[in-house]
Amino acid sequence: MNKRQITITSLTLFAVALTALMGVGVVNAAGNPNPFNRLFVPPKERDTALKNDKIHDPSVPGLKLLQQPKEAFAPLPGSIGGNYINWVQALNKGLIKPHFDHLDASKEALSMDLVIVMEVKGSMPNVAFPHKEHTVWLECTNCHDSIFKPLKGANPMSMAEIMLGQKCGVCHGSVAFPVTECRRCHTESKKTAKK
Amino acid sequence: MADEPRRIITADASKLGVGQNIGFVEKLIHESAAAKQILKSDNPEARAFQEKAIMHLDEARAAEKQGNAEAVAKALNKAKLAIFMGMRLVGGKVVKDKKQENYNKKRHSLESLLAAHKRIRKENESGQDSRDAEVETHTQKRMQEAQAYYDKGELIKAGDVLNNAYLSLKLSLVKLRDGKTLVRSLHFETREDEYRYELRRNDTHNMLINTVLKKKREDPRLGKLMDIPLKEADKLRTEAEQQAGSENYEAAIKTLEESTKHIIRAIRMAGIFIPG
Amino acid sequence: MSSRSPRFGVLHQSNITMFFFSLALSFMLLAGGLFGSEARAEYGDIVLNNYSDKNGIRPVIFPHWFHRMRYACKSCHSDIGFPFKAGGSKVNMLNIISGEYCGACHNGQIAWSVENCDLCHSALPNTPTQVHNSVLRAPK
Ligand code: HEC
Ligand code: HEC
Ligand code: HEC
Ligand code: HEC
Ligand code: HEC
Ligand code: HEC
Repeated sequence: MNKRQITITSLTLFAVALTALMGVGVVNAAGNPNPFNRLFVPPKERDTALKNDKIHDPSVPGLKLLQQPKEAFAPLPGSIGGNYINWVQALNKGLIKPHFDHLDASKEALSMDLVIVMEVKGSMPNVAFPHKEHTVWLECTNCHDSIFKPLKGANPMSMAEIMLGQKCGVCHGSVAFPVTECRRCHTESKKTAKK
Repeated sequence: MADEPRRIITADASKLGVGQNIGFVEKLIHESAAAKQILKSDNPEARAFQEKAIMHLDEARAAEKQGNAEAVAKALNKAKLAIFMGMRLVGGKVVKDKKQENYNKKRHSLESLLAAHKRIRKENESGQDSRDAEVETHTQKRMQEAQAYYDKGELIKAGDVLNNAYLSLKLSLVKLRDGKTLVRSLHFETREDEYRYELRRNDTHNMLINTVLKKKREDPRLGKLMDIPLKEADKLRTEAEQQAGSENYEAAIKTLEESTKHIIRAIRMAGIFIPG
Repeated sequence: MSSRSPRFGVLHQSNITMFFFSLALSFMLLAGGLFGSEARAEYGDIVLNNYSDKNGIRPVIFPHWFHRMRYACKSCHSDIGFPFKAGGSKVNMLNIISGEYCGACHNGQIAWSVENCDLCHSALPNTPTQVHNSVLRAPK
């Protein structure tokens, strides 16, 4: 664990603690017509039951054979958006062991520790793109060059594009942690980044 | 392991909504893309499987009338297996198309990674390693070999050879770049480039207002308050665009920076502090 | 420039504020904003309905969260060749039975086989093809 991971871990734990506290509030308020937060549903209290998710047909008999997200997520470390799971930590801690190859379970990822720091104007922290956290899940060909040309600086991008599902937003916004988790990409404060 | 999944269907068939399933299987046998493919194919064997599936489907319907759930499940399973057999016989074309598509995508990616490898090797003044150059010739040779298989229609071979070429190139790239940190410094060739960057930065903040803070803006009191800096921001943006129109980028950048500051002010009014 | 510098050292003021910003944003989205009352599906759930409604069969739900606990993205998006676009592969039953796409695994060897129609065809009729809970690509 490097310092960054420790920082992020402690922040995430803090977020989870905060969320849990809020969750307790709602639990206590059950049955009370005037709870403090009426419409605000903290992540832990979300109704994630498949039969209520508005896409599953509750009348499908096979539904009860499917796994409930809540059950699957219980042992995994939390996060503040998306699936409310920190998949990076879940993987690093060995809590999930996704096969890298669907035909050969013994194959392991060959990851690459190459970081591309992207400077951002103003006091907004810079973005550090870590190849390592990506190449444990993805092949180089997933990104190069259908999403990014493999050349530093050859891919100008903006948050606006990302939020619309381009560039990093291809995954961050639909499957990987969403753009609302600003801090996980904008990791580099200006003080330490300047070289 | 392989037999495990079948237990679901036999043991729990009654739970799985058999009535619905008859309808589904009927669609699969009569109306699906696969059914049409079988009809088009003039493949007597596939047609025979389709007929067999229809026969089992009728058995399932009959069993349903008698309320014999177990018999329905059995007949339906036979119908499914029969139509699957028929489908496999006509699936050759879709499999081939898929393999071609995968091959072409991978080949395109490989070309870009090979170019990156060449560039990085040349930039790498310190440790010139002759093995790195060998990787490139090896990759190129392999790609030609794969293409030869592809042209002969040996798609599985072509895919395998291409994949091997990819894996060895990847290994070498990882070796060249592992443990490095590259900085994309904010440096603009021209004032126009910087203007374009500011335009994007302005868009980004506008987008936060219009998406994430949309609900906040609908609040009548807060909305009105936020409108003040946002109107100013809009005005400045228009002004900046005019300045850029007359190629006064220097001024346009300043104006845009001001505009973005106003948007940030509005975001902060909504109770959220973001770094400027 | 090339070796890794101690970049992630001090916890800067703006880091803390950015963190709270993320937290506030997520809560706001939850509190009825974009994620709204409609889309309760799990983040990344994909509904496939290129043909289902037309064929009078329930649309298909593909749960990313479930599969990504078992497979790296690369298995499906590189080896099997699903594109990064909901509905993009135009997969149908012929592909699946022939061992492509979902059929590369749902073949009775790697995972339960195609006989179990209901486990895939489990969506409410008229649910459009889309990825769910995407921040900005939420349903109109
Ligand atoms: C890389 C292999 C793979 C591919 C490709 C794949 N699946 Fe799966 N799927 C699995 C495995 C493994 C399971 C778990 C089987 C078990 O629980 O026994 C599973 C389970 C499921 C489940 C049940 C989840 C639950 O709650 O138990 C559904 C639904 C599903 N898959 C749908 C699909 C659909 C639809 C596709 C194609 C769009 C697809 N899968 C493609 C491997 C795959
Ligand atoms: C999640 C997407 C993603 C994956 C997967 C990925 N990359 Fe990258 N790669 C990037 C981005 C983003 C950049 C930065 C491009 C820029 O600065 O415009 C980059 C840059 C590069 C560069 C250019 C660095 C330089 O020297 O200028 C190389 C080389 C590279 N990647 C190789 C690889 C290799 C090898 C793999 C597989 C082991 C890989 N990438 C996997 C996204 C990815
Ligand atoms: C092809 C899909 C894809 C693309 C494109 C992509 N990512 Fe990711 N990224 C992932 C996945 C998957 C993870 C693992 C974490 C998760 O799923 O939430 C991840 C993780 C990360 C992490 C690690 C977070 C942590 O907590 O350690 C960072 C940082 C990140 N991405 C930044 C970026 C940036 C910046 C870009 C654009 C330059 C980008 N990503 C593009 C898929 C992608
Ligand atoms: C998936 C990673 C990721 C996340 C999450 C993310 N950003 Fe960014 N951000 C980037 C990248 C990449 C850039 C472009 C850097 C560059 O110009 O090269 C960027 C640039 C920016 C910029 C500079 C202006 C622009 O549009 O280029 C701002 C401001 C910004 N981000 C704000 C945010 C805020 C606020 C959040 C949280 C709502 C956020 N970002 C979340 C990756 C991310
Ligand atoms: C592994 C998941 C899976 C299973 C199991 C499955 N299907 Fe499908 N099916 C799909 C997907 C994905 C589509 C494409 C959906 C779309 O885009 O509308 C589809 C489409 C269809 C279609 C319409 C398209 C076409 O092929 O012409 C029919 C009919 C159909 N399925 C019938 C069945 C029947 C009957 C069964 C059970 C014997 C079944 N399916 C089992 C995944 C599955
Ligand atoms: C078991 C197979 C499987 C795995 C594993 C998987 N995906 Fe997917 N993914 C799919 C399917 C199926 C689709 C829909 C494609 C289609 O309809 O053609 C999809 C679509 C997507 C999309 C497009 C969503 C949109 O915006 O329309 C993204 C992005 C994506 N996946 C990212 C990922 C990432 C990142 C991972 C790893 C964390 C991952 N996937 C793992 C099967 C998979």
